[in-house]
Amino acid sequence: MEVLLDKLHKVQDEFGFLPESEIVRIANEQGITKSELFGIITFYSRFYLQPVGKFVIRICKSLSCGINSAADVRQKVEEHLEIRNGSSKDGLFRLETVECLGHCGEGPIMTINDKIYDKLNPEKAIEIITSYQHKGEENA
Amino acid sequence: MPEHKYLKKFIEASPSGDFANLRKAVEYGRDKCLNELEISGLVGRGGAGFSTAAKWKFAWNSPDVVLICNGDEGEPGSFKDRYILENGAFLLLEGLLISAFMLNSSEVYLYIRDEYKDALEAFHKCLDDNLDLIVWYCEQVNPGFELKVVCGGGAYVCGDETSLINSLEGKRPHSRIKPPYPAEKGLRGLPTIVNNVETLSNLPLIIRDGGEKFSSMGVEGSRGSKLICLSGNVEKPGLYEIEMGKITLEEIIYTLGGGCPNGKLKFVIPGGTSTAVLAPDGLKIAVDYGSLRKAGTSLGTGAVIVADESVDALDAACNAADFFMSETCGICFPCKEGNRQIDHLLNLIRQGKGQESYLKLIQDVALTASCAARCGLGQSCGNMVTSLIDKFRTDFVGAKL
Repeated sequence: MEVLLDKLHKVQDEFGFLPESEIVRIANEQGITKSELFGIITFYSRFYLQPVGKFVIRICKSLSCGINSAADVRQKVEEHLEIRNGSSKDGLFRLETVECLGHCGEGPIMTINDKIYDKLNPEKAIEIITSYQHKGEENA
Repeated sequence: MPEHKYLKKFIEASPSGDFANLRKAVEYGRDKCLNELEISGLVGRGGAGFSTAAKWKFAWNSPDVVLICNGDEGEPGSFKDRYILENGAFLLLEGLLISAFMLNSSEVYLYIRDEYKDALEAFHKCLDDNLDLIVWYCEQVNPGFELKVVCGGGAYVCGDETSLINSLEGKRPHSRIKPPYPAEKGLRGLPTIVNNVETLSNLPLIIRDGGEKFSSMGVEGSRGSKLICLSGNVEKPGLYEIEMGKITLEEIIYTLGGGCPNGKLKFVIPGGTSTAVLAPDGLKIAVDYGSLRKAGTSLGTGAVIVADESVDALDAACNAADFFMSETCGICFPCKEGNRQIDHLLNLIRQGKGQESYLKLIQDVALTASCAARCGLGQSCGNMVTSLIDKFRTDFVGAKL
């Protein structure tokens, strides 16, 4: 019972995004056109058509986090990384502001490659991101 | 996060490696089980509050029923399904197996949102830990049974059952027109039962204690307990389990949640951003489906969001409008264009370019969406915004108009 979402996740797990050649292959398998599959993929928020940063940072902007000053966290992170909803020039980070991540009792929330960081304030967020910067530099 | 006493009781009642409630259900047979479910008065915990037994009866005599457990929890403020998956995966697994047995369903899906990686992992671990029992179930109870865990792709609208079905079919996950309801014609045209994670997690308890005991908790139309996700400006946010109808919203916020730490309470959202807000004078209200409906709002998913006086009603309205504008599936006009217009008008007001007539216009657009949209997302998208305008008009008119 493999469903389309399984196939998309599998490819993205391997490449970090969905390359066009894979989209063509999956479209053929599904018996739909490439453009139809493109329409499906882009409907979802968590599939990428191009390589994104090594570390994907997602900051929740939904109401519970918003009430607890998530906007301050986001602003500081944007300033620190010098990006707004996009990838950094060195390819290390991608920053996204996203809807509810389901940790509303512990906001503000940020995830980095799906690891949850909760009860943030701007300083704590920058500290965490800096540790990833060091990690990235070490592995470079 | 505060410990969840009742849920713990649930899990202890059916320790991993036992499946006592499932065995009891098999002994009862499916008709007696349905009878117990009916007596229990269980209603769906995903937001609509529809009778579970009534839904199942639509498909009761059909062969090839598909069962889908909806774990695509995306309602802002809601995290109960994640908690069950991470801390009580066995409870859900047993609930799923009981439900599949009752519905004679061998094709079963659990759809979990991609954001819930820890939950996915916890459920897979639970499956691995109980492999022997699942094999027994497949051989002795439900031949041909296959449980497929599907990871979503990031789309709030997949919480709507018809969108979820399109997603599983590999289509663009927009909503479908109802009727036909999924129970009649769902996945690949087959009768399909879609239930929320919390709903199915009640099944083992109903079988264990009997429908009568379950229905002794709560009030008419809202039997049993409900998980409440408390967040926002509150001293002790977290997950709480309440007996429906026996506790007020005020008690949840002050007695359980410790009240607002830094100021006076301004408004409360009782069931997630799809529900109308309540002002402080409206909090002495029992928390159950009927009482909240009577007060013009809804228990929704049980996501109680508390806002103190530091929160501007216009900002909160903009936040909700932006959410629905980005999450509408775009298939039906009142929701697609309505949410875009509500967001546009609110932003004009925020920029000081608004007129007071915009407020009436926003309410008209929201009313149109609530009457004409296909699915629950569109029908409920304006609840929060319009109730904020009704109750805190000065925040909108104030300096901005």
